[in-house]
Amino acid sequence: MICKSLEGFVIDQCGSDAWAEVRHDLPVPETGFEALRSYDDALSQDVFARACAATDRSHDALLEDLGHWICVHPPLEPVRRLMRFSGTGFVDFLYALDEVPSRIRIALPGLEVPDFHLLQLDPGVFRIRLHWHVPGGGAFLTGVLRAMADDYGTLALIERADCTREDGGWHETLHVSIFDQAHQEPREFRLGASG
Amino acid sequence: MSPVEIGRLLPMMLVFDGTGLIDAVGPTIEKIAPGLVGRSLGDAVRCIHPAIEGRAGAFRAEAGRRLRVELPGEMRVADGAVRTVFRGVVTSLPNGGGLLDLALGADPMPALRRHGLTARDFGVIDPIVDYLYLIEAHGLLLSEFERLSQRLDQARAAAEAAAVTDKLTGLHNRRAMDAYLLRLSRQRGRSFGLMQLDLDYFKSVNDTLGHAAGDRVLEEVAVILREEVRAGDMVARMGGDEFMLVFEDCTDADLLLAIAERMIARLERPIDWEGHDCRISGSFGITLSDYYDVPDPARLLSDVDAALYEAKRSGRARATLVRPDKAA
Repeated sequence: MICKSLEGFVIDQCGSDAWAEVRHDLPVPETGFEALRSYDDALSQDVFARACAATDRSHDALLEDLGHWICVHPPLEPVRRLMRFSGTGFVDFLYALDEVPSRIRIALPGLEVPDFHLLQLDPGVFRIRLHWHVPGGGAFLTGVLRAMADDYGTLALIERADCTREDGGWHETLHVSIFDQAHQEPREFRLGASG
Repeated sequence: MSPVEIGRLLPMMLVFDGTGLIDAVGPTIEKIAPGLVGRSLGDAVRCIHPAIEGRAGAFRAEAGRRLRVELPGEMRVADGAVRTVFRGVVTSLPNGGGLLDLALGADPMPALRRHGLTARDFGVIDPIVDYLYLIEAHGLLLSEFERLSQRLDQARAAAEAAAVTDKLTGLHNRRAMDAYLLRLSRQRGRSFGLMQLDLDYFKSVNDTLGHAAGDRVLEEVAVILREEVRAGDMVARMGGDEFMLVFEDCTDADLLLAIAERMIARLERPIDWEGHDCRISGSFGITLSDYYDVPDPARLLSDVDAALYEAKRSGRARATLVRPDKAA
């Protein structure tokens, strides 16, 4: 699913020629990635490295833009909707991050997502720690949070702090400061509106 | 606890007193069926199962049981549409009345749409939002699986076609012919003619003009063979410059000989390749399934091959029939 998103992102942003360049001599399926298949980590990493070059972005910048894109790209509206199920406001959404792994597990067993831990430092100030087997989860989440803050109409500052390698995994930290929960009208979201 | 506080915990509750009058309702019930407070239980709530009367005592008697109820005062029920059926459970209260708490059933979607309900209309720890999330994720996955299986079907069909097709000529290949002959020979009482063609002088075209010229010749041969047989007849390139043809429901050896002669005449017309004339001919071996008590494909193929060899030996560019007495 992650590889499929990347494929969609590169094609949407830079055209299918750029994607052809990325997959060039990699064992990427002829007809493109399948969202429901799992691919080898090594292949994913190769594809990401190539995509960085093709889109002229750093690894973190690519992941951040990808996280943002999957929430705002109109054909992926269902993704945004699924995100909005996490809470009625942006703060609820942050609190629900702890539940993301269990949510994903019931919907799509087999998709590995980071563990999240949210800590409220002050009113409106949060620290999110995440742990994943590959680096970049923090950058991706930064993109998602920026998109979803907009979606909820919240004015927030999201910054990446440290990223360290420990016991075979990657620990990353983000800081979220919320200035105004009702900065803008939130985008429309109704339960049961799909289908 | 005040009704407002109860309503916060149980937004779909109704509280009734001992006389059966509704004292209070939760905010979501107010949204679905406004103005129930002060009405009688019998007017406001219809219990479908079990079918009980709308008295406080009757509801209290069912305390703890799962009820199926509807609200006659439900809003936005279009003409011809049915009312939402709720699950309900009653708790008796000390004042002789009770609390009826409602929930949406197994498919909450229609009621959600009808009343524009949001997560705020449910208890804060109610897992219904997760349930809706799951319904939506499930729908997405199903449609993604549907698309995946369509793509796989197309890929499989393409692979199957490729597996039985000769890439250069578009004719069937040896694999397809073997399977076809086996199938045909197993159908009792099915007569067919089998014809093998080996091109003559093809090697010299290849040697003098190169493989591109040879490929051009093979393509042209395929066209000729296709044109000289009926649409349903099986034509395969078995490999190299060897072709095999099957004529279903054919018992006429003279007819097959005539067809072979016609094909030879056409094969002998020069084939143009980049301004060069490529000249070939063909030798045919022919047999009929009727010559055999039980047509065994391996036996037929070896007989037709022997007949072809005889045609080659006796001067090429001719067709030879397996002699029935040699077959049998």
